[in-house]
Amino acid sequence: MAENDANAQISSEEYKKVTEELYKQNLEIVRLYKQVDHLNHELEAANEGQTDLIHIINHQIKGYLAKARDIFSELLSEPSYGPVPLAAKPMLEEGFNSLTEGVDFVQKFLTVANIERGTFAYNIQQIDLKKIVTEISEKEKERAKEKGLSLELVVALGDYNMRGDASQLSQAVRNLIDNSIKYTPTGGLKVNLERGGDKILLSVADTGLGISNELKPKLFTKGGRGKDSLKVNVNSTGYGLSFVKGVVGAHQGRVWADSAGPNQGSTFYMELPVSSN
Amino acid sequence: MIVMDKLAQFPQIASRIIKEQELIIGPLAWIEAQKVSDIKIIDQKQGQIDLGGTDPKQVIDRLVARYDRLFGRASREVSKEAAAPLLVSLAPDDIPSSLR
Repeated sequence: MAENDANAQISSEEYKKVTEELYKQNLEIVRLYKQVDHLNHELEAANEGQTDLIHIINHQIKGYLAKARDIFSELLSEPSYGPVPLAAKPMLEEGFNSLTEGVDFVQKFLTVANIERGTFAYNIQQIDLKKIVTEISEKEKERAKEKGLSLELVVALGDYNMRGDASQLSQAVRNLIDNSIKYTPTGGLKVNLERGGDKILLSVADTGLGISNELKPKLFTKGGRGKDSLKVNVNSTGYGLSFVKGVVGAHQGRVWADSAGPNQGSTFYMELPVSSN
Repeated sequence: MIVMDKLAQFPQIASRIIKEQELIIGPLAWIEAQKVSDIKIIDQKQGQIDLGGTDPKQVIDRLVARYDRLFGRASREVSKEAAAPLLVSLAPDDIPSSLR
């Protein structure tokens, strides 16, 4: 019976129906393709705009800021100008510090942009992540203490040697701990380092503001700070965690965060493969 | 009566329709267009077409009808959309009825 059905001749109406249906399906695919193509062009234009902006920031804004900072620096330190009037000194120092922060911010912004575009040149060497995490934790402990927070570092026994960029990984670890300090009003932080198989896991747990479900997907993206972030941290740039993700990603690692919700603390994780190069 | 400069529009209209159909049905669009009387394909890659006969409007109507007959109503809408940007410069009476 089935064989008879298979051999039955297709009527011209059926054939036309199938042809028309196929045409409609192809048309739908072409329309989708055109939409994707259009979005792709928009994305290319946006990327070009971003590249231009980065170029301007790199060559113009950073230059102006650095020049102004150097002028303040020279006024404060060059003996040939004579002694700085006492009344003017705090203002000059404030100007110098503010411009130094400005240059640092621009530098961080450019680094994040280069990391995201994959154009950052990493200096990969044999490093000891335990040493990096210990040194940074010690420095950050002071900052936490100033805010009345505790910071405990727990390092499990194990080998923490890996290949990586010490400078960028240090900054990434600093950003994670900094972020927790900034968003923890009371209580403290626990930094945990452990080795599991061919992976190293760093976690930073805090008793801070926690993460809303709305913020979770944006957390590690550029500018992805929470809506009340600026109320807590007026200097929030929204680039700190994006930087962490970029650097860890370049080391074939991954980052993520857990939180039971707002005001219930957060734990940030950074996992790095030992064999990364 | 269609004046000369407007006549030049019709091969372009046909070319746009065929190219748009090609996106959907592939090279078959050109094969079927070739079967329409008074359509001569000069250069498929460049989309160069020559329309013979006395009334280019009728040639366009035959092209649209051929795709319609083979692929149904949806193909007529595709032809209309493809030709639309070139129709704005034509007087309503000069627009082929299949594209109105």
